[in-house]
Amino acid sequence: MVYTFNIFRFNPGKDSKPYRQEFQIDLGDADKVTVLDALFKIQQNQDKNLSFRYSCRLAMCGSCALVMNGKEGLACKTLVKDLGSGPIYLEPLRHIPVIKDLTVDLKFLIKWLRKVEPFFIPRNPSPEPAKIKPASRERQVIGLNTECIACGSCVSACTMMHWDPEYMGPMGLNRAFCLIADSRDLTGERLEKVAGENGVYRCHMEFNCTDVCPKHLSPTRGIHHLKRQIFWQGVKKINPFRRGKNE
Amino acid sequence: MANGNDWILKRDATDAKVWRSTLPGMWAWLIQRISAIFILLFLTLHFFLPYRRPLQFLLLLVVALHASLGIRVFLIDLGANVKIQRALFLMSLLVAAFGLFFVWNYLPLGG
Repeated sequence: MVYTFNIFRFNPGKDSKPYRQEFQIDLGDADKVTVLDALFKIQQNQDKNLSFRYSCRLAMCGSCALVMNGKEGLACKTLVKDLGSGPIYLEPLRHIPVIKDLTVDLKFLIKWLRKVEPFFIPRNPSPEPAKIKPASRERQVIGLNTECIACGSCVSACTMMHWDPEYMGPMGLNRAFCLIADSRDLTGERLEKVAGENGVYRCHMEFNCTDVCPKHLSPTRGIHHLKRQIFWQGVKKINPFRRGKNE
Repeated sequence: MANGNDWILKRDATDAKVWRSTLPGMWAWLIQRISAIFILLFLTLHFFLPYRRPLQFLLLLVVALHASLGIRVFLIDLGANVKIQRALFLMSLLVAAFGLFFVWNYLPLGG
């Protein structure tokens, strides 16, 4: 079957503005052909200059995240037949600078991650291994949110990233949630940081990040857990019966 | 859309594709915000033109939508499972329809 791909093209060093280019390719029996396979075919047979990023091809690394027909997803996981018979629109991730065509500058994702101190700070310096049972409430609360592959789909889907580029974003806040909910971690100032102007209160609960996550995680759930934690910490501070306890 | 030396692709509200791919959670958010604006508008009109049936109906409609979607937000804020957010959206619309039907038909509105 012949498919039409309408692909975003832009070379900042050469083009004054982006444009779209159509490619028609025969994918034969396209039952198991992914968007990444189609991109390879276009690059090999029609335009060797087409730029896109990939690595594992197993939906594990998150490198090939794209906007396909207006919705974010992994090119290596999305089957062409699931995108309909009309033209298939491919665009780079939104809210992240474009390097060339479908390739975006992923160091910007790191910039947003850095805002939440995304590294583990041990609360207890003891060399003994911590014992957290898989069925414990703490582990259940964190759930699958640790499985984030940092593909940037959530950052692209979040409309708040459009209005506030300094917003920590769903990916950064999901990482903060995983660390803050972990009893082994010394939360430090992380909770105060996410409670700031560009933190959790920028989330308007649109669920775009949850709906597009290729790993089926919900950053929104983590963000709301953080909001409740900030609220209860505030309540503890004004509770007159607790005053002086920490002094 | 250029940002200094970087070129960043942003959502273009004039692009039909963006609206076709809008997801249920986003629709819930949009409907609640738009209904809030209409509440302000219809309340103001209601102040100057009281007891007009079409206006009363429109005001009730937007209040019912805004309130039922507010309950959805409230439940999720309190820790309701986010996996049911789509079902909660549909339930909110049903609650709004039921609330509107009940108030319009069974409560005295002075019309």
